[in-house]
Amino acid sequence: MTELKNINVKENTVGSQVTTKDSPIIQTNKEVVFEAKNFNLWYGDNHALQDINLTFHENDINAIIGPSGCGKSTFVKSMNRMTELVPIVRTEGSIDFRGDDIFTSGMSVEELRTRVGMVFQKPNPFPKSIYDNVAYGPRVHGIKKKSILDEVVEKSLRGASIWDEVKDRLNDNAYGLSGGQQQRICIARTLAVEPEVILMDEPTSALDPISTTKIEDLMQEIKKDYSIIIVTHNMQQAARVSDRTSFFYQGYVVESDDTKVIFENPSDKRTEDYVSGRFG
Amino acid sequence: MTVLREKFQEELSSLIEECIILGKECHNRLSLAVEILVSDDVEPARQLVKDDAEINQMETNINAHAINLITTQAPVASDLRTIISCIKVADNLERIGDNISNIAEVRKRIKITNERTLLRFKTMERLASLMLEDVYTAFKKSNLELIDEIILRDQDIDAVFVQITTSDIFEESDAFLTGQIQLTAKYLERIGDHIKSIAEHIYYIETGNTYEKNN
Repeated sequence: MTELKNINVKENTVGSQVTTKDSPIIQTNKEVVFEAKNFNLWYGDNHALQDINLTFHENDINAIIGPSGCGKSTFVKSMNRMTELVPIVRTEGSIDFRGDDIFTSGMSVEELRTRVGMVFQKPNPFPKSIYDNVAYGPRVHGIKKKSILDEVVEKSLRGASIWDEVKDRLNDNAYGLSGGQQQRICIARTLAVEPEVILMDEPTSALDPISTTKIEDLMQEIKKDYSIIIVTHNMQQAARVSDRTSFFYQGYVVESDDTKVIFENPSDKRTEDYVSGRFG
Repeated sequence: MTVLREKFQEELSSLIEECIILGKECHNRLSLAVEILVSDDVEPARQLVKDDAEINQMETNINAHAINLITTQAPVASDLRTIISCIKVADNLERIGDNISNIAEVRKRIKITNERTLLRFKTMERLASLMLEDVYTAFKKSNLELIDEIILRDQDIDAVFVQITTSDIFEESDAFLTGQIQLTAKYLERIGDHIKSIAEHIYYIETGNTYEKNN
């Protein structure tokens, strides 16, 4: 464990200027959407996240990888304050969303989760019709007019690349769809409230390869409008879809860099061993 | 931490070993090729040309093994760099094999008797052989300084080539013989270039960067 105290966190961010230890300054015009600063999280006595410093830019797909129990899902759940549902959780440090700390700035959980949507590992549609699933969020936000709801539902289903498959059966129960279709309905449900960031916690791990490809294509399509942060156990998926990748290990960020660097020439041996499949 | 993929590691080591065996085979044939230039018997030259098929087969096997590893193991980072570089190194070694075979073809056509020219060829062969030996050492010991040195040493072979083709060659009166000497010098010079390329591939395996970008 002692060796892990000297963690090589390559990324230091000043404004929107990203520097890495071994490469020249990478200038990016993209705005910072999320920034974790010395973020720590404990489950009781278990120090699950330790000094996390990470920056996420808009219109990027950010992959978070690491072995089971390394804290990646915990970190993503913290980003829309879902860890607060666990009574023994305690946090220190901050996670800024658009410059404001999500824990102390007074932003309500409802507002945060409207702006930061989440898609889970297992498709979790409501036991309602396809239409009602997608219209659920806008209705909660007070939209009642049928014509506006119709428009939002169609736009969201199109955005999730599933409109053509379900447009003739919008009133069917969402449970009747395949797993891949259900997951895209969940993505459409997330898109319906027009979030700024979409968190995805292993969104394709329960899906077949074709459905996985459709979700990955969809991510590439929607990244022009959203920032995506995806937790994945699938190395090839992280390499295929993401712009930046962060490697978590035992609660630390070992390395965070451009995906190309992480998968072609990582600077930390643990990252190399993990992406090469030598441990996990 | 559980160490995984031992089978893959074994396969990767085996692929590297195949490249090393191919390199040693080329090394042996290189000195033989220059020796047979002065041989009275043309048969060893014929045999050397025939045996080039073995080198080609070894390269084919390395490529097939590498493609199989890429397909089945989805390698990344240094593993992927190593496999890709094995394909390229095998290609360079196969081309060295072709050049050796071409030198043997020259002997099939004519026997060069000019002592000074033969000495120049022997010098070029020694320089190339030592580069090949050092490439192996640099790979085994991950020695980047030695890589730099090997790449620079290709200039020595080039210098002898220039000496032969711009000066020595004019002493020969027979046009056909002149052409064959020039060809032989060119084959040896190309062998130096291929060994330099191999050194650059090893640099890439070790660092993840292409050699040119750093120079």
